[in-house]
Amino acid sequence: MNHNINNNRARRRDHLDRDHKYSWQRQESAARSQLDMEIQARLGRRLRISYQELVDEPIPDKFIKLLNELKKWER
Amino acid sequence: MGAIVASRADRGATRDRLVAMIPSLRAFALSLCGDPCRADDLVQETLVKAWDHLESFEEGTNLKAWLITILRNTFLSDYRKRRREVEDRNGDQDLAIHPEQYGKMDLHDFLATLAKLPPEQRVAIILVGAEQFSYEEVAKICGCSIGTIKSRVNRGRRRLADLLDIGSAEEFGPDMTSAAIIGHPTGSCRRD
Repeated sequence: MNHNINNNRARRRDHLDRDHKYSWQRQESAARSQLDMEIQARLGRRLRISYQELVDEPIPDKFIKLLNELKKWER
Repeated sequence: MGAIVASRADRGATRDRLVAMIPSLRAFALSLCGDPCRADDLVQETLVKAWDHLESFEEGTNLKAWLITILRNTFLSDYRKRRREVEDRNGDQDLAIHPEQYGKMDLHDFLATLAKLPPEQRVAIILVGAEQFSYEEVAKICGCSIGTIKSRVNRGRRRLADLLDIGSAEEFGPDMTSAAIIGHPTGSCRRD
């Protein structure tokens, strides 16, 4: 009987240890994916800002001329 | 089929629609090759090819995605051809991009950093991250699976984050989102 009680206690302790370990791992992996998301957000922002600067460049006349020429061609 | 250029008025409308796409095409081309002159050559080639093959454009589908597909294919075949020529001539010489012709420091950094990625990763990163196409659209543009695009984007992101040292939280300074997480007050965007 006593033996059984001790066994049960040991099993409970194991469970608690394991739960603690899992929760710690969960927290760490949550923190890691939070950091990944943060890095991705920064990277995305950087990409979009730089890209937008390129998009905002005025269209050189040569392209307008080219398309006007193309438009004239009979197809 | 071909209805897009059926009449003079249609040709005018098509011209206007292509003009509207030029800023995006130039941005995409310059991000890919890093050289403004080559970028403009790529855009010009794309526009001429597009005009010559307008009948293969399905009206009602995404014109930008169609043009981007032409530009991407032109860039990659050009890139492969150049690489073969360089290998024939001199094995050591690389296809390094020289974006110093571009004045602004941030843009210079951006282009120089992108240039360090393999071309297919560059394409995926720009189309997903900057042009904000869906993975599915980019897969269609590149003629490969969504999984391939996701893996290119992930590998490209990791490499860019390393190169730009973004993981250290120094590159941009805190913005609204990161401020909440890293506990800094929101403030000006620091750029080195």
